[in-house]
Amino acid sequence: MSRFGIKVRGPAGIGGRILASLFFLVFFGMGLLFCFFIGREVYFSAQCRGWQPVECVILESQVAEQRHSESPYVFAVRYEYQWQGQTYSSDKSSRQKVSFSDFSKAQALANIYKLDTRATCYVNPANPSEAVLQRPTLWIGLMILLPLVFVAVGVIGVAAMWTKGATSEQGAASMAGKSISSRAGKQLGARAGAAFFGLFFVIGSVIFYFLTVCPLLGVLGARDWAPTPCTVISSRVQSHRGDDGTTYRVDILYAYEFGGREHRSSRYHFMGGSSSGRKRKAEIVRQFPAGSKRTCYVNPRDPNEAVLERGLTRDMWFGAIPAVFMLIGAGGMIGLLKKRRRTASDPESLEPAPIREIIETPPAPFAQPAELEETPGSRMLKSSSSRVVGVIVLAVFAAIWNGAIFFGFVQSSGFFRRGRADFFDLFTTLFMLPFIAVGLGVIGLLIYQVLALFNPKMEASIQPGSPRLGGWLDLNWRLTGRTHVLRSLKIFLEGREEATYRRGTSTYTDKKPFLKLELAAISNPAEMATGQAKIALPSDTMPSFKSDNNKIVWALKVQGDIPRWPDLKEEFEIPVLPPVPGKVYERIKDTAA
Amino acid sequence: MSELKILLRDEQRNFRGGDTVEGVAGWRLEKPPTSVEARLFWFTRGKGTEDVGLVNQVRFDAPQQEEGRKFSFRLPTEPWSFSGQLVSLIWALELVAEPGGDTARVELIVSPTGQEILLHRHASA
Repeated sequence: MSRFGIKVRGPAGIGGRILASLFFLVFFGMGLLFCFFIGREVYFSAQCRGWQPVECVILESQVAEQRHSESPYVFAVRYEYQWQGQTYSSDKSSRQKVSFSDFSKAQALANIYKLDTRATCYVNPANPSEAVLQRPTLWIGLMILLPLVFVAVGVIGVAAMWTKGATSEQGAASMAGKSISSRAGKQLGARAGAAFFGLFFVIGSVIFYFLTVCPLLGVLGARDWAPTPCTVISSRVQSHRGDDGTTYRVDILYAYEFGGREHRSSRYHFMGGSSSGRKRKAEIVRQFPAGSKRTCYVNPRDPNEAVLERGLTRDMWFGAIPAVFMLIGAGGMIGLLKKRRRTASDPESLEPAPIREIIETPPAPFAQPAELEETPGSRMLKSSSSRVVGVIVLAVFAAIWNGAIFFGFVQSSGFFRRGRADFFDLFTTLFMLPFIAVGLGVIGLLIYQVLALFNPKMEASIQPGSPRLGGWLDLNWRLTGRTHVLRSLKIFLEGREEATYRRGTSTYTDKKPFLKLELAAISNPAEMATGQAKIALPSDTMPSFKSDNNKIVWALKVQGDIPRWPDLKEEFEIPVLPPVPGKVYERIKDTAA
Repeated sequence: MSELKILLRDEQRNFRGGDTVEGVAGWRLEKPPTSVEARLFWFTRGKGTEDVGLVNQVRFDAPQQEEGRKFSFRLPTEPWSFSGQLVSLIWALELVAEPGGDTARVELIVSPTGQEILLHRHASA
């Protein structure tokens, strides 16, 4: 390592490691705790599935209302059964008490287990006084995957803190005589990244399905539901106080007649769950006072199913949030998989040959790394980063970040809403201050980027399209837009090293220019709008080189000074090829000599 | 203790792209090997996460516990050996014996001149 004069930064200090380890241990502990709860639930459910089926008679079956509960509708049932000659009764429909926020779901159970009918219940042979009507499903066991992710993050995080960093480990391996070539093509980082983005995609998709697809299917399906007069029985805004503040939902219970029978429902629209923002819900509730007559829409195929608002509603826009997660996950996965496909040489494609063949035949062929293609003629240069895309990405990030802070914190904080705060509010406000600062910083950066949108734009072309070391590069440029605001303009060609590395869970890229060749330095505004320049490329340096984490990049850089405004900064990456074999090599040799 | 060695013809370490690198791989192993391979590859060294490009490999058939075999590889023209302040690219030949992963390695220089390209030569000049 010293031979090349490269310093390798070691892992974080001991204090940092301990703090980071504690952070990851919290992840691990919480994950483990939830794994335990889910595991226990699965164990009891599995036991319950072994209970014996017995015929029972339903003595009571109705939907009861628990006025102050978050899920106010309960299937209240009582049934009688016989076990080994003795009569028992039970009021449990399932192993755990179930309540619903939607009246029709509780009603659906009451319709299955009608009064004075016979049904099958399941009796605990170890305690015959215990019985249920419905055996629990074991699908809940799949939920263990979610806390397992937390456990994995915790374990990997702690392990990463106390094992040597990738770079120093590799350096040690080089010294200790371990094989370097065995690591070729091992894309653990890419695979872990793809798994991370895959998780993003899966979670985003599941939430998107429940938050967007289900309500939209409901809206589409309800187009032919029958408009039916209904009477509002009760109407209120139901509040739910959770860890992230209070959320609200509309709870309107109404009765209607369909097919000669009275039915009840509490579904207002197809968007389920509760959310922040009481005002809008209170407005809706005011439109449906108790005793008022309204029109609801009844499913003719299942008259227990009805809805008051069957169209699209404003809160369905929430579906855009998981869609962003889905897009990020899909984009990340595609990007990483494409990157993997671009890997220079894949050892799996190289079948080792027996030595006998090597000795008896000419030297073995070699696998070429991905070569840069030669572009004949001139090439129009494309900016390395799009200003509009940059603004869009930043705006989306700013909206998500600041939206999450606003809805998740500011709106539920007594400090921001009432101007006074209890201890909890004060603590959470102090905790959230750095996050709010980041949000404001992002907004500031967004404003800067929006202003930069109005900067002059450079169109440039080079000849030849893929210049070679030891050859010439011709540049033609044209500036469009507000060129008069420029005070000075500099154009230069930069060759630089780029090294990407990981520290903990973050990825960094360091850049170090090794050559700067000036093509133009103009202070006269009249000469800035169009121009041309020519430059000789040195022959004794590196052409463009790209591997997964390390690069040699050649780029044309444009810098324009604009007073009291974001400066003009553009970069155009150029593929620089090696000299023509056999022709310029001799020249390089002479130069080196 | 196992011993592996790579001997290059004329002890040459500096090559130009397209040259042939020839030599003898020798080993004396503690256990009978299941495989012994010679590998030609490049790798990066420095601040960035290491990249490794395996270019060619040969597996010696029916390797004995102690013996020497000839090998020969033709070198590609790219990538060139270079050294910078963040990244260096090094060519190498490795002899790897399994089980155990015992390894011997020699580093090479591959470039149009047979010399390592020093990126910051112009900056320091």
